[in-house]
Amino acid sequence: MTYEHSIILRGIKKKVEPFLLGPIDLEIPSGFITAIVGPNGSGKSTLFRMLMNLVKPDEGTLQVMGQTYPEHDVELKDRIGYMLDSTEVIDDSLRARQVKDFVRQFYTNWDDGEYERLIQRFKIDERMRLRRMSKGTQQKFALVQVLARRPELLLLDEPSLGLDPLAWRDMMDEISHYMEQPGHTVVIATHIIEEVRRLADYIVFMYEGQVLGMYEKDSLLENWREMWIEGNSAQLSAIDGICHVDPRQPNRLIADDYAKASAELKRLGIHIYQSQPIPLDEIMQYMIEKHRDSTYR
Amino acid sequence: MRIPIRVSLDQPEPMYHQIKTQLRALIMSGQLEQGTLLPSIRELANDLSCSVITIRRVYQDLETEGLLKTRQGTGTFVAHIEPTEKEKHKLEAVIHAMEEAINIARQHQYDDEEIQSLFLKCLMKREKED
Repeated sequence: MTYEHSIILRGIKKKVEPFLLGPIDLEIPSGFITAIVGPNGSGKSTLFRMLMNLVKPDEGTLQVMGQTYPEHDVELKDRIGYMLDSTEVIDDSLRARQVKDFVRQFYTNWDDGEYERLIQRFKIDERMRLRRMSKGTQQKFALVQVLARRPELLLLDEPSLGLDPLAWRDMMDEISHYMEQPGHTVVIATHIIEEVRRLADYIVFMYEGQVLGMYEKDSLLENWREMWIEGNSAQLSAIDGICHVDPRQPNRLIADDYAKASAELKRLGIHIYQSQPIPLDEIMQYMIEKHRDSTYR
Repeated sequence: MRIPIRVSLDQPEPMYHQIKTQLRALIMSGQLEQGTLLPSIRELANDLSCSVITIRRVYQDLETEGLLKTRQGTGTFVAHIEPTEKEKHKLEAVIHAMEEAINIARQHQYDDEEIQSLFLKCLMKREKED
């Protein structure tokens, strides 16, 4: 089955008192890693649960890899790898090996060789009971299980919680490795900027149940720049490409389209004497401020 | 395989351009020999913390220039390049660097005579050091 977008959401709305998700329109391309970032409570996890048909939208339509719920519920759950905390769904007195023997029978693409390789790589002791594992080991074991299923679409919700730096690097590598297979797609919700920087091809910003925008990572990081100009910039906020003028330091500007802004400033004869990139978390902060301004003004 | 490419957002030059220039130089200088298998698009993207969209563009462009070859299912390799092409590239790289130096000197209002004598001074200094 071919599809250009792994996920298509149209006019999705969901009320979870007192919280309102949506309306969301979003298309996530297949073959890429898309990171969903946003503060707590922005709706990332609800969105993931919706993609698994664990939460039903009040309004709108949802298509995953060309299929819809509820007709294709069983097929989709076989094709999607949703990494979740095993202890939530399985008796945590079971040993890792028993969990695997139980889980493997439900998935048509389960790969024993891949499972063994990953168990070795993450140094998981299969005789261990789930409840005796540290949080980090539980996370690793959950990742191993989800990758051994060889899903077409991998949904990762804060996958690195509790991981030590070495395990974290192994996980980054494995996600990359998973993407070597043509047609594989990853959607990862994360708070960790380094994960986004390292992994993502596209970034979706979410805030208070809304999608603020979706961007190709490299052009986003290239377009946003902090710059210092000669003289005063009091009237410059209206210029194309500039989204923010520092009220306390009027020679400092934030551009969300550096090429446009610098061309415009050049035309006005204003010299930029320094510019530098802006970290992703700051970009997110400016986007949220802009969104608030336009919503509550 | 890791290839020595450095990308920095501090430079206003787009990442795509930085990577392409450096990869081209590595191939033209022979540091990456004919037949070398390059990292996959995803691997290089991961190493350089950029998106596969950027790397794909670089590989495609260098393939169009005849520096790379892609074999379905195996990957991207360094192509055979005529020695005359390599020579031409070397010369262009040096000329480009000199032109840059001239630009900076002109920006600081040096005239041609001063630039020439500065160049000779630099050469002599280097001779002493060597």
